[in-house]
Amino acid sequence: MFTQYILAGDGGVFTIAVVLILFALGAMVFLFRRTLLHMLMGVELMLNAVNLNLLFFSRLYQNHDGQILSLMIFVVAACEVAVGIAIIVHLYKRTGSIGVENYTEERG
Amino acid sequence: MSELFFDPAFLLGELGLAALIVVLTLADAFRKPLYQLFNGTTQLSELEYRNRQAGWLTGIGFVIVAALFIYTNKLTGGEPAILLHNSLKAGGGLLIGKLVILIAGILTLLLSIRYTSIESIPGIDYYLLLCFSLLGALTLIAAENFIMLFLALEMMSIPIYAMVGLKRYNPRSDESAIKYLLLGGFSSGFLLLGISFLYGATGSLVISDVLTSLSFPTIELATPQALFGALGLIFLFIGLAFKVSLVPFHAWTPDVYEGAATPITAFMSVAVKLSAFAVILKIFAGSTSFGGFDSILVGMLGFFALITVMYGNSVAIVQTNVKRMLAYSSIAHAGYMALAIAPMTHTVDAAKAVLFYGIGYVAMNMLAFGVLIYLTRQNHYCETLDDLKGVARKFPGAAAMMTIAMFSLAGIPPAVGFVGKIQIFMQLINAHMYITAVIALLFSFVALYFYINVLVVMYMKEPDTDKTIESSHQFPVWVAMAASALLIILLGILPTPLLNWSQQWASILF
Repeated sequence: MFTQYILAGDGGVFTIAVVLILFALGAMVFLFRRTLLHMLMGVELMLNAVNLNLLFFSRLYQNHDGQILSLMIFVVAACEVAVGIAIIVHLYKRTGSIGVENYTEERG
Repeated sequence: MSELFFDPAFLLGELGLAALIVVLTLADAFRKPLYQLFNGTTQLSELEYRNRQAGWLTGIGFVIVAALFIYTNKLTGGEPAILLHNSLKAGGGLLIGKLVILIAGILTLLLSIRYTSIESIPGIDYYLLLCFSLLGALTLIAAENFIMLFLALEMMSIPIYAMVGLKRYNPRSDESAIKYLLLGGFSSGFLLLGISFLYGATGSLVISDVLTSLSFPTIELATPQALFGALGLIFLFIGLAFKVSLVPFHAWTPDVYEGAATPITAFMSVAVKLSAFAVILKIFAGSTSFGGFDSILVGMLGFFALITVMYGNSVAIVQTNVKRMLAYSSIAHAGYMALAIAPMTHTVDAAKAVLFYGIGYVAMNMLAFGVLIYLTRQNHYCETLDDLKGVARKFPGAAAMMTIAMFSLAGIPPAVGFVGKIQIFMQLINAHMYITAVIALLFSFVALYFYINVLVVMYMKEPDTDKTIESSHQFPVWVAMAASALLIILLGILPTPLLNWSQQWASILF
């Protein structure tokens, strides 16, 4: 069953390719965009790629574990963004910018 | 091992900690009347008074939780059980792990009571976040299911992101907080991608089911299942390697350790690292062999662990800030712990060596950071080597404590660090990885230099005259330091009980 799904039909290869491309895009946004909000968005994109993967496999195996995990990921990502935005707002108040090039207090 | 849906008798400790969180929240809500009610005679400022009140409240709570853990063990006869539909394991050797993490929490609390007032950190927020993080760590080491594992890992990490940023008036603090948060999120992305591929390979999210149904045929990665399994394990390892800061995923460690409040640094470096290592042991070094994939894992783990030891120990030499130096030393220690499982022997002994080292590391790192906290005063951060100049003359006790900590970190007998290192190297020698063992040993001699350098500065340099620190009464910090020093020496001379305990904890992972 497995090999057929992945190799022959039902868009298996396509879905996984999309997942990997989305994940890589998220990682690249994180690594190459030099503002904190963009980096946070890159992380979100990575998590959403994972959600897509989980949903695909959840349908493939006809069980709900993957869907439950992806719901949990939404919740945790929201918590992370809440803490992240709070810290970014505080940084913005102090320095007047959210570009990473301003945060060089620590080096080495 | 029995399978139950839900039996509160097994989770009394965790439930107690959750109740403590509610009590602390209520205490915060009623802080004004409580302050007026109890502040009849003291001369303290409101913040300091509230911090002390919150500290003692949390302390009493932690002691009750520890008692509940021991009572749970009595109540259930020490038999392990799996709860909540394959979500959590409880009982058995996990008691040791939970108590160790709770003790790390109690030591952090003792170190924080005065420090929060010095840094004007609001105590209740701080202790609440500490409780949440502890609850996450306690759940993480018991997780039997990837959903629970992910939730517990984030429950442990997210409060720490906030705690790192609590020194709001210090520019380095929020900078390290955002660095930790972003890199933590990045690493959980990798962890989740790994989990999703493991789910894709096996169709289950229960860790034991995933591990037993992963199969790697002799022609590796020939089937999609083997490919997904391999990708899953590698991404999962990357995600966890971020948490324990193995090179090349270590970049956040020195910055975050330097910018965070010192007690939080101590907590991060022991509790987070130990529980993340418990997860690595369960997945990678547990009883299930990965067949043909094992040889790839041996190469990967061995390489990462060895460059971690080399990098951590060599970069620590040039540091002038003691907190940064300890951060690089903690990177190196993570490398030693990873070396013990690098042969992928899947034996209890390897897991035992890692857990023994981790438990010993709790005591030594708490002591080293405890001395820095003891020497911190209002408007005087004791962080650089210059700040430590000639401290031995004025504070002989603190200098003696630092000596014990540094000897143990360097692995000099009779401290517990020495026994831990022997355990690690025995694993390598048993697996005939002689070259790795020799390189790791050479770099632990390199490490002697920067550990001893701290002592040289403390005992032999003249103190700067403009930087005199007045002595002050710090009972809780002394209790924490004395307890850790006692543990280091006692467990170094008589390691048998700790070896038995780590054996019990390791056997529950199998």
